[in-house]
Amino acid sequence: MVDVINICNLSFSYGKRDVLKGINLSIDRGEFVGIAGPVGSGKSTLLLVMNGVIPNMIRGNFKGAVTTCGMDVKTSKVSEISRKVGIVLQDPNSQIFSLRVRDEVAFALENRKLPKDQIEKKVDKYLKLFGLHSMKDENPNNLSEGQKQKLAIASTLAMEPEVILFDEPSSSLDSSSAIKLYKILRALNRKGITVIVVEHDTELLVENVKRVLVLKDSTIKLDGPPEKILSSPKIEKYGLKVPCMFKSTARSSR
Amino acid sequence: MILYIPGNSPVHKADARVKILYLVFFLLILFTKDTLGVILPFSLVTLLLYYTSGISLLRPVRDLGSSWLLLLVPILLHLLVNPSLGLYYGVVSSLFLLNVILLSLLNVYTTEIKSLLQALVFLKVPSELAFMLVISLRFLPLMQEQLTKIRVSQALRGYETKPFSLPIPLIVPLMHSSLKRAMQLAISLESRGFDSEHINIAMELQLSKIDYVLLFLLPLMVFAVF
Ligand SMILES: Nc1ncnc2c1ncn2[C@@H]1O[C@H](COP(=O)(O)OP(=O)(O)OP(=O)(O)O)[C@@H](O)[C@H]1O
Ligand SMILES: [Mg+2]
Repeated sequence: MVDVINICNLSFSYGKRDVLKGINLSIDRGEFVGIAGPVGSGKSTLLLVMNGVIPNMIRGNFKGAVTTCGMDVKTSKVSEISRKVGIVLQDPNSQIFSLRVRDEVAFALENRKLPKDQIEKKVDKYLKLFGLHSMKDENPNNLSEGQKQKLAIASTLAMEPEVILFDEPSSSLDSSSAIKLYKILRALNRKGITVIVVEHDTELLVENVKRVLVLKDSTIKLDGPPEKILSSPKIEKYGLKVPCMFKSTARSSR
Repeated sequence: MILYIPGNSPVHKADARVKILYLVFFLLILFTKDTLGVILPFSLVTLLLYYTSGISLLRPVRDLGSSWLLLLVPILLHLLVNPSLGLYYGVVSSLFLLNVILLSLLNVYTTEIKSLLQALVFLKVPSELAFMLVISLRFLPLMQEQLTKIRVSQALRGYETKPFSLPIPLIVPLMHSSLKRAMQLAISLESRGFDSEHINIAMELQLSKIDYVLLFLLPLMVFAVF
């Protein structure tokens, strides 16, 4: 099997209403996938399925089969899957746990029982990567929203997982930080790491990812390379904006 | 907020396990010897510990806010039951409660959550119970934070809280959002490899000189007191 994520006929509901319905999806090792779609379409839920939080921690009505890195999410523990898969949650406030910036980054590494000096090296490396190094002794509560988001991302990247899931990682970042973040993600992807990111910003998608999924009404409506999916004006009915580069070509070809 | 306050005092430096043992010892004294003759000098110990830790007493005062009024309850109850000696017993019970609260808070203020967790597991508290305890500790400041947020958002839309009325419109959203955040926190921990069923207790806990002295003194003190 080369696919790191394989979802077969998945349906899920928290209560009565289906949040995901008849999802079939296979993602290969080394892909860079963007997931877009209107508010409440199930994007976050889909990510939580991919690392086994659903159905292990959040129970609901789960049907179908999901394997991540060869592990069946129904029978594997979240902490086990976390050795291969990292996730950055949508709200950094609910993700950050520690009372010192550096402890937050060290947390996953300590759980893996890495030696102390190695932990310290990695903590420094990833804090520097996101320009947070000068704040390493601060309380994360005192950081700005954008800084918290960077910290949450740094803490997940420090785990150096094979697959990384991001839930709207650029939502509180200014545009230059967002571009920088995607540059980092592209570099990771070039090294063979699978990156899956929920993102509304079609400009960022078209410039970075290699495959776009559009979710609406609990199902995957569109799936393909960004230049194909995002250039068609019909994505506007999914609440997405056609990126500038396609608008200008549409005009000039007229 | 009821949280670890970083510091370098001996109280901070003492090993989390040693601190838990001492806390248990102190609580035992308080529970078994409830007379003014014991509790008054004991209060001095509590004050001394706060002084050594460098944490201002204003901190617990602020953190618990109006909850401190609960300290009056035993006095009132005792007065009702026994008008002649009630005041004496009431004051003893309030002082007792005061010491219990202050000491427990001091333990939280001076111990990192992680060390506390590891210490509990080391002392054979079942992993999952320890995890629940520690999550609920982390839950308190979350609730305080949420409370402020909800207050602000309700005030912004013209809701006025009247003094001495039950803040029902606050409680429901507060419980809801705090529970939701606690769940998110648990998700965040587990998806970074934290296994609440098998907590590893290897690293942080290392006994230092202070700890050996404290551990040596403990049986002597137990012997002297009981
Ligand atoms: N813990 C939960 N319990 C019950 N219902 C939930 C829960 N989380 C999400 N839902 C519901 O599931 C649906 C999909 O939610 P989800 O968070 O996956 O959407 P999303 O696409 O990520 O939206 P957004 O763009 O706003 O983040 C929503 O209708 C939401 O109300
Ligand atoms: Mg979402």
